[in-house]
Amino acid sequence: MEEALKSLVQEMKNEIPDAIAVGIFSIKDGLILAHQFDIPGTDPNIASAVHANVFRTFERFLGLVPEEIAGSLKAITLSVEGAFFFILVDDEERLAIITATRSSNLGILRVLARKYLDKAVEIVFGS
Amino acid sequence: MKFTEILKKIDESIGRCYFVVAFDLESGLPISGFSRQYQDSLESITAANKQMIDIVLKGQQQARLPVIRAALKNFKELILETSKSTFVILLPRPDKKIAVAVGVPKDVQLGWVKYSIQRHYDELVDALQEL
Repeated sequence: MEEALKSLVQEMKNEIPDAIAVGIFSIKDGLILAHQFDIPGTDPNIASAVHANVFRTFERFLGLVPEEIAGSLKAITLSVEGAFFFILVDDEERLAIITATRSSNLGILRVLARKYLDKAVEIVFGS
Repeated sequence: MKFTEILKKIDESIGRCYFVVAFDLESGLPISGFSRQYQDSLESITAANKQMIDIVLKGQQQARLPVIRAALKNFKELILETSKSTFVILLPRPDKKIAVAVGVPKDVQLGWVKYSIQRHYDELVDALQEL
């Protein structure tokens, strides 16, 4: 399974235009399952723990908006100068895929993240 | 007044906004905003949006890598998609003192939301500078 996920993130990084980083992590425990980072000095475990924490914190604060419009968190897009970070969560909130890219084509980023998240879910959970 | 009018233009362009609010980023206090359905909840909606931005800014302060710290410092936009809604938060002013947040049903296309904001973006920035 580990090799399949490693191969998956490598394939994803190659396919996403101008990708800086891609990773798959478990939301429940914040552990990274596979990654490909182009940022020197990045500790993937810290990165995944931060993202899992961000995800949980965002969910908590959704409690402040009216319940009928809050819903459960599915995706986060963060635009900064010259880069985009995109986190996509699977329907059962078990895995999340994170991508960072310099490309401004958010459409292709979302399509590819969905495609590889579905593949990762299949590899990890077999469905 | 002018500023609220621009927020209304954004709401009208999108067509089905839950809310449009602008708030002071430092204090989290609302500057302007309206909602057809949730006028009574605007304060808590503003507080929620302020918390979301705080998460990013806190991440920027805590980031160990300069490249990440620099990237988060230049944060421009945050989009949260949930099973029911899409929330877009922008920092239109160069000094990033004011945030504008929009909430829409999830079936409103994200591209349309961004376009609707973008077409009034310059007016928004000008009106914000006057505040």
